[in-house]
Amino acid sequence: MTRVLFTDDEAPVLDGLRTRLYRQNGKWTMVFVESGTRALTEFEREPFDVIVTDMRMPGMDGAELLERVSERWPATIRIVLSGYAEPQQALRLVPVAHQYLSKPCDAKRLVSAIERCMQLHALLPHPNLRALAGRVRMLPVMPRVYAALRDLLTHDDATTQQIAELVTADPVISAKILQMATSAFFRLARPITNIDQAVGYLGIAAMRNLVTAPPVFVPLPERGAAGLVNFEELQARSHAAAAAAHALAADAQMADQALLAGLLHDIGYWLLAHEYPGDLAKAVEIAMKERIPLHEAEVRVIGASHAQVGAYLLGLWGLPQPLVDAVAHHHSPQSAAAPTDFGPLAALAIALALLPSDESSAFPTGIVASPKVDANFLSRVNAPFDWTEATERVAEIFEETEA
Amino acid sequence: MHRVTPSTPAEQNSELRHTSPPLAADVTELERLRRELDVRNCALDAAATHFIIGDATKPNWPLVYLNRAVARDYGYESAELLGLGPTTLFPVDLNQVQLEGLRHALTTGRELRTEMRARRKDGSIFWVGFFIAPVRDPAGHMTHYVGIGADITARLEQERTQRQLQDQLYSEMQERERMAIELRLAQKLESVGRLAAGIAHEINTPIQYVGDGVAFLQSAQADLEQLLEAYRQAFKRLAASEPPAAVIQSVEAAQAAADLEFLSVEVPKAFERTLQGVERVAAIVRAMKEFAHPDTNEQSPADLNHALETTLIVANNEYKYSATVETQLGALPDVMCNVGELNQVFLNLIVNAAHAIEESGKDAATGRITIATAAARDGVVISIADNGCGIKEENQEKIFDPFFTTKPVGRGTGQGLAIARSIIEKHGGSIDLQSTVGVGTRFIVRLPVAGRSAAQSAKTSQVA
Repeated sequence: MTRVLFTDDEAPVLDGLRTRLYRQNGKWTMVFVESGTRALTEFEREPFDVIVTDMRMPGMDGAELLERVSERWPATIRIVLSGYAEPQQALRLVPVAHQYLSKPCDAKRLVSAIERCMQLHALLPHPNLRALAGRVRMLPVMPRVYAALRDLLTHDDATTQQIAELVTADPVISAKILQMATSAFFRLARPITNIDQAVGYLGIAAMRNLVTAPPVFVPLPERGAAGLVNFEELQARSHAAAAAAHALAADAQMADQALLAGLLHDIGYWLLAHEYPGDLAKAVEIAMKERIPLHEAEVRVIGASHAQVGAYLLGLWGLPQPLVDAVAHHHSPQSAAAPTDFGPLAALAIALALLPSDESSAFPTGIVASPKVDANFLSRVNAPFDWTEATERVAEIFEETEA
Repeated sequence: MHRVTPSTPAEQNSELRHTSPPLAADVTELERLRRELDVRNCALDAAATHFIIGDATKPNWPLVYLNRAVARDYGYESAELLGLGPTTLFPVDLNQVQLEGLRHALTTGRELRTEMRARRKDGSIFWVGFFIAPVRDPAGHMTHYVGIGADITARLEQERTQRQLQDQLYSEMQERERMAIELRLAQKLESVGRLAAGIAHEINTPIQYVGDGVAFLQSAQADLEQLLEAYRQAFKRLAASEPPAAVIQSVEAAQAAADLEFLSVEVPKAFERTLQGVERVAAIVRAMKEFAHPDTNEQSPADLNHALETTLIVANNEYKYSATVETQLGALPDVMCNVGELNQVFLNLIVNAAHAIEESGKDAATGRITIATAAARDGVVISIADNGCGIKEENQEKIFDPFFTTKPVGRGTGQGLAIARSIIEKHGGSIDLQSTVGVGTRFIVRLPVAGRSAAQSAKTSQVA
């Protein structure tokens, strides 16, 4: 049973939700409370999988409530259901809320948001790992990109395009911007397919708030995880994967998602290096000593791979499912849980398999395994090209990148 | 008759007097005329006024006389100009219109006053004013023209400067007026923008539960429809004399499936909640409509208690998280006013009170805004009090100044109270405050029942 706690200072809103959601009774245990203090009391009694809270409430407001929950019960999925929030209030929610649904919100949307989050448990079966992901507040970003972006945003004549270009240079900032635009933190939520669109929709003022507000981004040391990960190289590989996956996509919409999949596929490494540097270093050691792929060593040491951790967080943030699937399964595109059609995952997996191996110097040589895809995989997913054409397309992109 | 070579005119004259007395008399006359002419010439040369005579019988109207002032001011020797047309001094390209007018006037025998641009020998340009008139012979034919003029550059310059100053003053006044209007508009936009966001929030909340309620009722209706169908079947089966036990069992199963108990408790509540939500939205929309009373300069009788209640509904989102509002509204006579403007004043005072309470760290449980009204002699008194942070004594007078604000950027333009005071004064009323730091602030608005005109005529009669 999924345990869901609803908090809102308006009793009719709670009554409305309670009756509207009564068909969920067999699947969910729902508790409805009228204040943050009472919400915390309920948590003390028995923790919840999901909390849905209003923002503006007398006494403890939504941001404070979610902050407390994220400290004591970090594995809980935190959703805001509120009307318009002023930018300063929204900024306080940014580090602690996973999704922001704006009132009025159709119950179907609410149910599907909660169910999608619960399905993410399959990615991180162990509650400790979910707690790790839930505790993440300060997001580690590339120092060089972060400094350049901060600087750019101090200029009044900075254009959306310039900003989007810098945002794209950092996978973590990209993911956060996508979360802000697909959720209703600053404006009404809107389906967003690329970074340009996200930056344009959020607007420069919100971007400035977000990037310069203290608790959101933190620069990562140039070499993380005890000197074992070279993030500049990792970023370069993400960009190469993005370009290649983009070139393999079947249509414009898929191309956008394939590009984001390439850009974000290794985002889990940023989080692991920041939150679990010792364990990541240990995984690298084991991978080298035992000659096994790094992602398998990660599962052994940490309990989940960077792919699972990254996908879990993107899923919590409400990013599109095909993107989450692509990130989750980029090492195992043929696993039972992976989609079987030609989508962003297939494009990314083929791209990664075809990228020149010397691009992967983010880790000691030989421990990063390419996904196992071949001509058979292409026909299984009904790819609109054969292996030779795929090789050519990727090679072309790679030559362009070199030039 | 022998000819002598005369030496000087005087010698010639004395010689003539000896040789031919009558001729000598003529000469003396001539002498006198000449002396007279000399005096006139000298007089004309002594004048600062420009004096020219031209021959009107020749095609280019050549100058036949010019006084020294002309030669001096135009930078020529007199001899250089004699025989030249007037366009040497007043170039055609600079005075097209004037010369056209001049030609027309003289050919039709009329005089003319004109301002022309003159050119000196060195090419520099200056302004002159001229009076030009035709000169006729005894038969009445125009033979010459005469022009009397002066350098008017300095005068024009002075006029231009004066005009410029005037224009500048005028545009500055316009600018100030425009700024004042813009400021008022900005203040209004600011409060409208803030209100719009607040009202969106206020409306979204009931819309949330109205939507949930209707969706629930829809699904409940489907459940009940199924149950009804079960009852119909049961009726048919009973009518067909089936054993009641089996029929009862299937009806009970249908009732359990529909969760009839839950529905019979929740459906009426959902209707009630939904209706209440719709009423709440309607009340907000109604209040907004009344609050944003169209701007006119007209005053009409208004119930200010009602206006305060309307403003409280509209501004609910501005204070409900920081204060509880208590109203003590006494019976009031209708007041002649522009109620839209007064609403703006009340809104400002209420929002300020809420901010002051937030500033003091109080919340909805401890913050209190008290709004009281009472009838007074010939007027009404409205008091809006808070238990917020209070206003420092040195700031108490300044808060009515435009741009004075102690709030952080983005919280206020510093125009609210300045505009509030100007609106109240326009209504012939007054606004005062009592405040103690750490205790709270009370604003007191006094308004005459009869509105602006009565208040003004009352003042006038007092003065008289």
